[in-house]
Amino acid sequence: MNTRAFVTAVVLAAAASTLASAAGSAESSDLAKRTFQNAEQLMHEGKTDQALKAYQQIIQSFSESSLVDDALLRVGSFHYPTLKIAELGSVSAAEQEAARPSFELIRDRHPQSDSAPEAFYKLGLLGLEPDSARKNLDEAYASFYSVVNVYPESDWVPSALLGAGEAEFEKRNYDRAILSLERSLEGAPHGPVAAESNYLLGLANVRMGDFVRAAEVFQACRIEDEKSSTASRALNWITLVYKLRLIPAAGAAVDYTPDSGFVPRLPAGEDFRGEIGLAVSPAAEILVADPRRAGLFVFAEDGTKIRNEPMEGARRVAVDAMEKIVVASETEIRIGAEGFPAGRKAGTSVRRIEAPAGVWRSSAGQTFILDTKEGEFLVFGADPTDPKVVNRDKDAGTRLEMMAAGPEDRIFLFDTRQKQILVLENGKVRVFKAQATPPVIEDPVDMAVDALGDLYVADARQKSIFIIGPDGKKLGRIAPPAGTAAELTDPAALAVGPKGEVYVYDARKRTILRFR
Amino acid sequence: MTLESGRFSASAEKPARGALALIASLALLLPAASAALIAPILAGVEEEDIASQIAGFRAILDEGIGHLSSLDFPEAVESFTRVIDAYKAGKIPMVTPDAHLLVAKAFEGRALGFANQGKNGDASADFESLIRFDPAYTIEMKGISSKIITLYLGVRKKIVGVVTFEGEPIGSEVRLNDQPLGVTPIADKDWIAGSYHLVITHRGFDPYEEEIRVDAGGKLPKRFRLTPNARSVLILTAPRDVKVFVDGQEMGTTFGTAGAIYDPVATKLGLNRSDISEPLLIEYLKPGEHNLTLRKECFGAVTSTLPIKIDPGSNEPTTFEPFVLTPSRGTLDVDSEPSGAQILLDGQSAGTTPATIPGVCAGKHEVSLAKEGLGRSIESVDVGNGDVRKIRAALRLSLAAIDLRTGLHEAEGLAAALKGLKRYNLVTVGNGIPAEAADRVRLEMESSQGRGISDKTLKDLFQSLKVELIALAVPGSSLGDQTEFQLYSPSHSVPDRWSFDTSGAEGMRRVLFALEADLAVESAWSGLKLIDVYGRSHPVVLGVTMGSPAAVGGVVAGDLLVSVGTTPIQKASDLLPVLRKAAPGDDAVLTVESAGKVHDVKMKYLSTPVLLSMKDSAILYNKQIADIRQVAATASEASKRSFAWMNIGVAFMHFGRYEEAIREAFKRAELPEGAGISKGTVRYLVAICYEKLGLSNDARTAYLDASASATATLGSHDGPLLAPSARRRAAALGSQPKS
Repeated sequence: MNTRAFVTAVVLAAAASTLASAAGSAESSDLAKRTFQNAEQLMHEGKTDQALKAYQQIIQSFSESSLVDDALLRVGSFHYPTLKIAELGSVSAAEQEAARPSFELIRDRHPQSDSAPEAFYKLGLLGLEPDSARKNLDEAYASFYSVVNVYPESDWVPSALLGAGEAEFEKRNYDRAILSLERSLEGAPHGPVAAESNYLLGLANVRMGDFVRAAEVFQACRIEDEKSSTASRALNWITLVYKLRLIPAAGAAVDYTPDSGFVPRLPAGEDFRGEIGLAVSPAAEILVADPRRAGLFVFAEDGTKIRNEPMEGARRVAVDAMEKIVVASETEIRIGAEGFPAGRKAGTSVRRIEAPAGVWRSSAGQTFILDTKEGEFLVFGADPTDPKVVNRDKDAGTRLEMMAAGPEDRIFLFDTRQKQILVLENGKVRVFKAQATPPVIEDPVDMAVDALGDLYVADARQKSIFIIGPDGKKLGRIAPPAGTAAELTDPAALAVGPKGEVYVYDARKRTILRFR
Repeated sequence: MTLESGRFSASAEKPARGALALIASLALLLPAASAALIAPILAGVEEEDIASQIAGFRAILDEGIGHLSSLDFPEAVESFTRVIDAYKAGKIPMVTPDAHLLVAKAFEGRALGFANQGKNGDASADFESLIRFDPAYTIEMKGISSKIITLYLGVRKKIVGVVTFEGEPIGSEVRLNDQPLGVTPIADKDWIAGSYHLVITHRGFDPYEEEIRVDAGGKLPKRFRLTPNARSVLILTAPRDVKVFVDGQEMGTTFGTAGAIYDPVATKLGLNRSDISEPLLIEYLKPGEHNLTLRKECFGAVTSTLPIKIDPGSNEPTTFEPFVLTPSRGTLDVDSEPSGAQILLDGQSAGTTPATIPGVCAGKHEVSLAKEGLGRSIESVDVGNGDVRKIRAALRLSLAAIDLRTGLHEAEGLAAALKGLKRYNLVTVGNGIPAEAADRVRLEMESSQGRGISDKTLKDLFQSLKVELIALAVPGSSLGDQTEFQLYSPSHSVPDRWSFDTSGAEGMRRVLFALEADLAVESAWSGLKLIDVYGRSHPVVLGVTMGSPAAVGGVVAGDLLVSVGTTPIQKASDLLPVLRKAAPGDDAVLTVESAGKVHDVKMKYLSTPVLLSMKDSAILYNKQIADIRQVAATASEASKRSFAWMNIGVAFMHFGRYEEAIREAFKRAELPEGAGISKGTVRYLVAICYEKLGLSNDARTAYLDASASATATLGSHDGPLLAPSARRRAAALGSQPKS
């Protein structure tokens, strides 16, 4: 908790104890109003510390004033300005905790005030905050539905229904998420949160398997605000759903064509060599973990290099459930900007994981690491030195060499000993059983999962990429004819972009190819 | 009481009587004169100053009269002298009759004062001054000694002559040295002897001028005959009550019935004499030709020429043969949209639309059409003789605008902001809204602290103002320069509320734009559902609605829409403006890429209803209720009426009036089962209402009913299928959906 947040919390605690005692009068009401106006002016002028003091003066000294709830809301919103689901994660945990008492005071002591719906809504958002230790989807849902049920005429209702939909979505109650989201849109089909509601409704319909409806609402999202990043992501989803669900549903084959225009632009004379890790961010940035160059290289969708982040021995890269970049090297694991010193306790010291073949963090905050050196598939909680073994090769008779994760925290593993695909679901590893005839994988070298949960396997011997649906059925195969520029001579790494575009690192060609 | 009734009465023997008579006459006369006569005369003069000045001199005069009555003649003379001296020095404002009388009485009083002291020379001088001051003034002779009378008459005889003026025409004005003498005949009128420039004038005659002399004690009889320079005419009309214009100037209106003398003329013209008016005298028209125009409502105007000639021998008025006006009437063929409107022709009831109204007088008329709850229209029409004039009026709703904010310039008010409103008849305070009604609203709003006005007041207002919408501008939050705009409809008491800052340039004008806006509740329908797919240069057809024009035209899912007419379609949203511009029934050519081949699909747009959003801050829902009610009442197709009622129901839902939504709106939305907006849509909306009302069982049943409509949609015919949502909602209410 930072100093300002601490002061706020103390003052709010004091305010709570004096709320009942302050006397109200016309004179004090007028003084409170002037103090409030002064605070507003100070805030407007950017003198935030003084403004906060003025608001707190109202809370403490004019407890009977009708402006107390406004002052509390201003203080809370100063610390926690988040208003949209898309803005979750942008406020530090300390600031979140500084804001929370203000909203709770409004909820508990001023439920009739016009600030109450917003306070409930903000408490709902706080319950959704991804990095918060107090993240609680049930409490978030309850706060959002308080807005809906207690203040049905409030302008916050559509936003609250969106929040409730988000809470249900995260709990994978997609049907209930759809219920809330449709209510949000029913009230305000073109309101301020219509684009976000349609987007999330699209995701929920994807998870429910209603791909036509999903495409429809993703398109509705685009119509609402075509220039927004949400609209751009909706376009990715439509493209993915169309290519991998609607076209096959119509009986047509999934086609891929090489994108000859795409070339990752390295400095003159440089190329990729040897082993690299490959991933694509939701923003379609191509992430390359290159141990030879000791860093993470980031390319834009058109192949231009955006940046590189030095990291000794960087071997694997992934984008986790919270869309943070996870990089694993021989010496460290980095999640976002923070290091994750994963290892095993050995006496008083910690033995680091030296050969991470895959790393991923789930939506519940667990970090999974495939350690091929020890032949263990591990999961870490909050303590980076106290993993649990999910699968041990020597016990299970497996040799897990590859992993790839996707939606709903589904993690695919490739057992090269049994030449079978395993999947981790609900904490247990099981064999991925296909409901239809699966493709025969001969020499798997890498795997990737797209946003729909389809598994992509690169097969070096067959010089192909196989696309396998969640039911195990082969959806498609990328196998450019021999002798063409797009031929996969030595596929060594694989990634899938948000639009379903496939990136393949060809170690022999020393470049990355793209197929759409 | 007249001035002549105030008479001075005094004599040497009984001076006191004369003094008392003078006192009495002044006491009664002067206040009356000051009250009744000063006011009209003193235009532009400070009345109070003059009245007080005259009152001051009257006090001095009273003082002199008092001395006369006390036989204190020297003192009396002194007092009267003060008045006379003031007069001679020009200090008495001679602008009123009582000032004139004041001076005359002062001369008379001092003459009596001198005479009673035996100073006949001075008395004679004052009598002469009195006669010259006012030759018409005569002293009261009763009770005055014969010596004084003789003295007075002697003076008068020395300076006054007698004039007589007689001649033709009677009523001529006579002026001597530009002073008015009177109007002829003037007989034996006293006038100060002397030489004069005589001028005799009369309208319609040349003036007569002459130098004359009036001898003292003599008589001057004068006869004259003026030469006419104009001639009067007598105009008769059939019928009477005809306005007569000569050279464009209104000269009067014919009246009465012509006398028996006109029997032959009546017979000649084939008229009854009783149809002919009395002659209307129009005096003194100059020689030459004059334009005569005769007008009477419901008759054709008559124009003619009046030739005027002077007859020096007998210049009697020229009588023209009666002018006959013929009736001029037309027919009004009146209809309105919607029909059934009450017709008021120039304020008189004339049936309901559609109506043919024969026998309407030619000329301009105001036709007012009104149908309760559906609007009114006021039309001006100019009907010609034999015309059949058609009036086809679209009734407009009326909106009453009341601004409850204070301290505003007129130009900043709501009425000014709505000036030029085309969609509704605008009624404002002082122009259709009595001030008391506005005051009542203001008081109620103040007492409710801005929350709103009561059901009863609203009902009274809608009834008395005969409007369909009431708009209020209410002072907003005290923390800013805010105004709350409230809009009420007669359907319920919850207003639309918009709060905004009125300090900007746009200010209240945004209300005007919102009121003028025409929200689409019907749209051209193609049936195409498009999606944007990355890497495709045109949007992909996700699906086509069954039975839609695109489906009938052969468009299928997976096709690419290349263009519509000449409009290229590069992304799905490009189709929206095309559809907005199109109207149901318009032809369209879709260029479609299907399996790599491009071909054209010719089709004709159909119509799809568009459901209102339940919560859209840009929509004034009470306006929608009023507007769509018109559609519901007037649409010829049952489906359009039903769509209208459905949207009225949605607007009720916006206000949380779920019972009214079901009872007054959705029950009237009788749509058939089918694809798109249909019976299932209504069931779904009713289910939402039940759910909002807490009637879970009814809601569940209604959702399940709706879920049975597999192809029914929300939003529009191309909207999402409602069945999955209905099933989901029914399930959430605690039951399993029907299989």
